[in-house]
Amino acid sequence: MLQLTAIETRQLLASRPAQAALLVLCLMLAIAIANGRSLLAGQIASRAAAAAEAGEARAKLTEQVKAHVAGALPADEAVLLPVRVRDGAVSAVPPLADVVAGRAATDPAAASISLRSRADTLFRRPSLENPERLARGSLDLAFVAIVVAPLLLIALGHGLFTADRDSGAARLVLAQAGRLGPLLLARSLPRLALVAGPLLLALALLLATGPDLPGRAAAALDWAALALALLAAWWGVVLWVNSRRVSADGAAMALVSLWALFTLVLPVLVAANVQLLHPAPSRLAEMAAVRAAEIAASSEWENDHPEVAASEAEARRASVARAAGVNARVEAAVAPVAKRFAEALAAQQQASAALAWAVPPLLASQAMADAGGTGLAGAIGFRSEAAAHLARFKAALGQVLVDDGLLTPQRLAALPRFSTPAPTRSATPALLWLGLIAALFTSLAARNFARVELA
Amino acid sequence: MSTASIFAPVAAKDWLEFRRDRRLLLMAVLVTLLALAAVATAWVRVSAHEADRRTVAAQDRQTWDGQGARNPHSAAHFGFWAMRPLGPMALLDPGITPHAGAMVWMEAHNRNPAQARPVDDLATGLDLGSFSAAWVLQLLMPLLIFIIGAGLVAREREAGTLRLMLASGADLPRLLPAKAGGLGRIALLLAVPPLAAAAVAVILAGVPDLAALGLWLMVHGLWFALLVMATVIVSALCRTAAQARLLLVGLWLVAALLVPRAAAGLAGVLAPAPDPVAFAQGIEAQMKSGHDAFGKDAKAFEAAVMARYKVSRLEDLPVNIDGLRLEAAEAHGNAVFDRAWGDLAATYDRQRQIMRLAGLVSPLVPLQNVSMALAGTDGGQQLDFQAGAEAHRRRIISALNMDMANKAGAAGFDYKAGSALWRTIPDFAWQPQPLTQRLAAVGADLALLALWVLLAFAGLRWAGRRLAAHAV
Repeated sequence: MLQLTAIETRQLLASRPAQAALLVLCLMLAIAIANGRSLLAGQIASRAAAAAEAGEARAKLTEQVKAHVAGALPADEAVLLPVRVRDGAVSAVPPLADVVAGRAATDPAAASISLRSRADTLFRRPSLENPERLARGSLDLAFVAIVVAPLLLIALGHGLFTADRDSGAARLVLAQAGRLGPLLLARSLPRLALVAGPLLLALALLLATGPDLPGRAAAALDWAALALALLAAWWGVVLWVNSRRVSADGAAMALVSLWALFTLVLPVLVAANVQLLHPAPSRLAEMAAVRAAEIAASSEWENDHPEVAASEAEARRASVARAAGVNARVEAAVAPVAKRFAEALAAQQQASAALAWAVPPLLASQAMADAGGTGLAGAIGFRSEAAAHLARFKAALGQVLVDDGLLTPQRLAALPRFSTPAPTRSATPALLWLGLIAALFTSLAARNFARVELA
Repeated sequence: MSTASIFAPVAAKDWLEFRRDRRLLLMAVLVTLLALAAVATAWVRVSAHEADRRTVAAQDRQTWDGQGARNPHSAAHFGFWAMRPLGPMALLDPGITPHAGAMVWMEAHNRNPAQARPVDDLATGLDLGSFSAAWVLQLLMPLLIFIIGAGLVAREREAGTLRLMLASGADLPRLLPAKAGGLGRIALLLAVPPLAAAAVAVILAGVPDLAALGLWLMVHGLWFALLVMATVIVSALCRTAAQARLLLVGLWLVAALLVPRAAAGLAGVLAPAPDPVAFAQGIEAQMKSGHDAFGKDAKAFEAAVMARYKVSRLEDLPVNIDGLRLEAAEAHGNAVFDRAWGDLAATYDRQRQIMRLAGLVSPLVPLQNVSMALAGTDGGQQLDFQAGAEAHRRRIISALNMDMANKAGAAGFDYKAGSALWRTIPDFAWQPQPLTQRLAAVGADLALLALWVLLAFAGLRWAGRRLAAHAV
């Protein structure tokens, strides 16, 4: 068996299609590695900048609070301190953003939390990535694993047995190799290794040269398992098509058509149709509703400039309290619209997740993104936690305003701090499903090949 | 037997084989249905966006006009929304619009980035493009043409009919144009229903730019001609149909999926866009370090204003100084925004140049650039929309500041304007740039696309001569 595998490996490596496939794969992996490194570096820098900004704001405020306690800050300045409290809600660096870009390039990494913030305006610094660049799509390791690698497997495997049938050499090959099972295994292993090997090496390279992030190793294991399971599923399909009475050309056409259907067409159709099935309220309408609520709830300009609204401490304190009240009224008015939007998005997500079980590449893609911390689940988790933190933060500061409106070091220290939500998704269900598909098609192929042997 | 009398039956045989191959017919029917569904989906999306935009704009105007008595600067803070319209041509190619913000909040003191990107609300994880007529015609149809046409010449070689033709005295170099003509007929059959449906949808969706529509159809006609010629060339060069099919699928993979993405990645690495936090911090730092008519430069500003109006006391000024202070703050802010956003636009431009280079490797890149430009959904139109929103913001804020300066008097920030002022503020109106301007922006892409077609013609002739030399 080992000898047979060695012969097949030598033959494979000497063949031009295999060399071309390896070249394309290595080139794509090199680009994916460069892109991944750049993206992860940007993600880390972005969060560091947000954390530094929040840290600087907090340090400055702490000094002002100390000055207030020491009596060095005028009273009319001291009453403005609650408005000046800033906290940064910074999401964790996605542990595998360099491997699976997912939504990392567009999702906000941080939100600035203050008394003036609202749940609907938390993320006011959207990504500045060029939309033209985003529209072209990203080339990361996940894209190579989900889109490119299966096509290379098809190129290497469409004639696995059908080519022998076409040339009439099947009987001769069988006579030399003995049973068909070991022959197919000996042919399968080098082909799978040729595609999966460089992929895993690229992953290992990124892990070895990348930063040490919490959860990175576990995420990489999940990602690698998903990639291998997807490739195994595709190889099962390749074997199954080879086991049927088709020519190499027919097998190539069938496999490419299946690849195009499941990797290209169905994911795009799912994305288009979940939005039609569960239409969200228009974002435009949501923003107009927010504005109308703002206009209705506020009539005084000092909502934005309490520091110039009045010069006396008591008047300023009243202005701050009034602004907080306006903010709360606007938030309450916007909440139903935002809730409807969140519900529609959740329904879209559920529909997409349900449909993904019928589209294995989509399932693998979503599971990989979730494992890498760049999926929709992570984004929604961060947004929800930031909104919940904002509510707690404003409640605590609101209590300060109700009491005497003055910030002390104790009150400042007692303010809630943002804690990054822990990822909850598991890759196991997707892994099991992909494994089941691989097993199913491999068994069907084995049954068909057994009949070939008997004939 | 004359050459023509040999090639006519060959073309008829190819057509017959296509009609008899149920797999190919099924694929063709499915892709055609998919294209029609894409047009219908785009119709729903664009119509919904436009209906929303009109409703919300009217509602926003009503809110603005009905805001009651308030200080103009308070109104300036609540500002306006600028919403990007989608023209009928967006039905054909959504371009960058799924990844670009559709709204800009125009308020005092800030130039805000565009918000409400449809991609932010995307529930699925595998982004392979937006379902549209352009997606089907540019990405899926090439694959179908490659699969259908891969065996056109290679099969003749496998079956030995090429030798027969040569023995019959046929002029083999002329075989490939004949084969291309046959495949072109099939491609036309595949392309006409979605193209016709797309054209009808565009015409029904509003007042279309017929010149842009005609050019869009013509460019896609060129694209199909290029695909057909590439298919026949590869089929003539390969020994077997299976080899040709896989080579064509490989070329498609590289040209349609890998090169555009690789170029986008390279553009991001070589000319990275700034981080939003750092970008905002940079603007904030420049705003603070510059002229401050309310703070450190207040005295100097007051002195300059008093000198301008030839008075010695603020109370004697015929204008409200705070309104002028606000206007001066805006002028300083505008200079800062011009620098920061100008740098960002320059970064985008560098990225665009890098991505355009990919057109030397993949003809899809120039095709997409031209298609988006004709549809009015390219990056240039998005930047123009954002620049239009910023210009409008400046006009509005300046009008509000000057109303306060001219009418507030001693009341200052307690001055309240009413609906008479609100009604003088114009609506935001933006239209895509004229076609000539959009075409000028993609002149290089058009030239590149023409070059690809010429190369394909030359390749077809070369492959024909090679076929004649190696047929035996």
